[in-house]
Amino acid sequence: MMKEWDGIGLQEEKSWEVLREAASIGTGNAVTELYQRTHQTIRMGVTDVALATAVELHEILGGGSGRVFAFSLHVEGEIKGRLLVLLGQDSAVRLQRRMQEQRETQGTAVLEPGMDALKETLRRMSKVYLVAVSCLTNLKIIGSRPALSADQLHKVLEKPLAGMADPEGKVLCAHTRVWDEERTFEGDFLFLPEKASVLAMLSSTGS
Amino acid sequence: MAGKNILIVDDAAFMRMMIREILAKNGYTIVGEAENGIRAVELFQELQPDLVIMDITMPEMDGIAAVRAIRKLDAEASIIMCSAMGQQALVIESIQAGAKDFIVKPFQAERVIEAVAKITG
Ligand SMILES: [Mg+2]
Repeated sequence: MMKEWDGIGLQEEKSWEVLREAASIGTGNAVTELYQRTHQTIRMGVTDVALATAVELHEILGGGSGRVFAFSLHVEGEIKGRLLVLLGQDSAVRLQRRMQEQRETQGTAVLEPGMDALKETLRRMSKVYLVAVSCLTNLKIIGSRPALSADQLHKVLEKPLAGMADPEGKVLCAHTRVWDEERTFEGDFLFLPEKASVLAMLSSTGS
Repeated sequence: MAGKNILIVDDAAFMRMMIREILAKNGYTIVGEAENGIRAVELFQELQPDLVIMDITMPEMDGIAAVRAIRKLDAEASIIMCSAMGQQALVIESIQAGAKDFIVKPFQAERVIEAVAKITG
């Protein structure tokens, strides 16, 4: 199945594999960061890579119409694209609560209402994700100031996906699901690189 | 030590290639490669390597389950985990399953050589 990838002559299978592993390593390091804050073991699924429309992406993420918290940032530098961390409402609230308890017991910060502790944790996780991808590929990456939004899944995906789709309306995405042992916390990491960036990753890893 | 036979297990072919290159450059012999835990157990039996380098996140059978299966076949088997899942609890789980060391991805070549040299003596 070594289909040529339109336009840039990439071999689909090989390039997708590099993207899959980069996303897997990024997520693995991001959840290690989370573990250091919560001391709760996080499991991670095998990353899947797909060229998907917004509707297909919605299905990949399990569909549903519940409220979702999306933490998204622009990836700039030698790899360009988007990185998203998605949490269902319950998972976001539980994580926020746990972060706040952590702060209280450690006495590191004044108890703040709102989503500050959650935001800070997600910001750190995103940063660690990008640093890991950068180390693996030897490519310089900068993450933009992240945005946190809460809405239905298709709504929170709208903005980050804008400008990413190819003429057929598809985006390349590497998706990794994470969860804790009791399944009280579940989340999704979504890495959406531009096609040219995947080419850069491919050549920098000598594949 | 040169000449030691190593089995590399990782679902990403390019990751196996990266590890293979590091080890080959340092005189180790790569006797086989597996892309999931089930194949790793089969190849371990068939090839009897001196050392296995094992990923955790893989389809079919994950690396920790594969370590348990291999150690059931050979209680002395030398296995080094190589994974991005560096949470302390998972490192401990791997060691309890029978792994002798843990390399966190992304890794430096020196870290791989150091871990392999320590175990193969
Ligand atoms: Mg893997």
